[in-house]
Amino acid sequence: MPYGLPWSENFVRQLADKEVRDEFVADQIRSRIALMIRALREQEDRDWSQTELGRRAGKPQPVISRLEDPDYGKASLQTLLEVAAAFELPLYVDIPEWEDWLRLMTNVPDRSFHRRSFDAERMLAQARGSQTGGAGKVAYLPLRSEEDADENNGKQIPQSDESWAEAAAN
Amino acid sequence: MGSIKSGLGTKPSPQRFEVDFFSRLKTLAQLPMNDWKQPLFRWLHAECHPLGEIRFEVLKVQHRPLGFRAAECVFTLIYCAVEQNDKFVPRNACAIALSRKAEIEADGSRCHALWLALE
Repeated sequence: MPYGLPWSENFVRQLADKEVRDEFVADQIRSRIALMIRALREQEDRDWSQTELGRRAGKPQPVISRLEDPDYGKASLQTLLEVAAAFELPLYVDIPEWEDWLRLMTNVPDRSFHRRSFDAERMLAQARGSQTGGAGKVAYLPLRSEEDADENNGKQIPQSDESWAEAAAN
Repeated sequence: MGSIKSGLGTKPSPQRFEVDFFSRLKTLAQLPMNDWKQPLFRWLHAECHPLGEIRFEVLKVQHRPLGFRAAECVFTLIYCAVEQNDKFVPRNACAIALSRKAEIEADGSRCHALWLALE
């Protein structure tokens, strides 16, 4: 296996079988959801019981127990949103390319797994830091041209921090 | 999957069992063995000590492949039991596994390596 790659030739040959591929993805994701919820719940600064997580997510403890079972595999998107919200965390779903997915799967949620809950102070400090920490005061501007402005309902996007502030004030 | 068949090689299994087993092994292989714990894994006690079981369910059958820690990063699989009503099937699964463990420890050529972390 080439250094740094999480797959070998033999493994890829096994994945060439669609049934194997699909079941492998399903089991990895089932396991990942279960391990992630447990790791977040047991994270040092939380150390919640299943009952406590259930209370915060509006679920009875047996539901949390099932979600932490890697064989369960029937968690709905809504339930995952509610559990993520109980941790004060967002949820992320993607359909990546295989290479990216295999790399992601090597990061198994374990006791070192750590996710910081929403913290406005922390994020505001980061936002302030990014505005004042650079060499200049150039805002990140995804839209610049007249055509872009048309797509933006005719509004020109401000070009600097000051004009962003003015736009916000208006 | 081929690699798991060659590792166990005793009886034919439905493909889903093989894939899920391989998937769990891949997941465990990413973790230090000291972090192997429920729900994926459990160290056994009493008459089953020092065996460990990999835990997964396929089509309502609770599979419990048994093995032992042969070295810091080596887990040797020795027997595939299942669990029904909190008991192993066969009931003497641990005794069989422990006798195989003794056999392997007496003669290292009775097992072979499968480097899953690199597979």
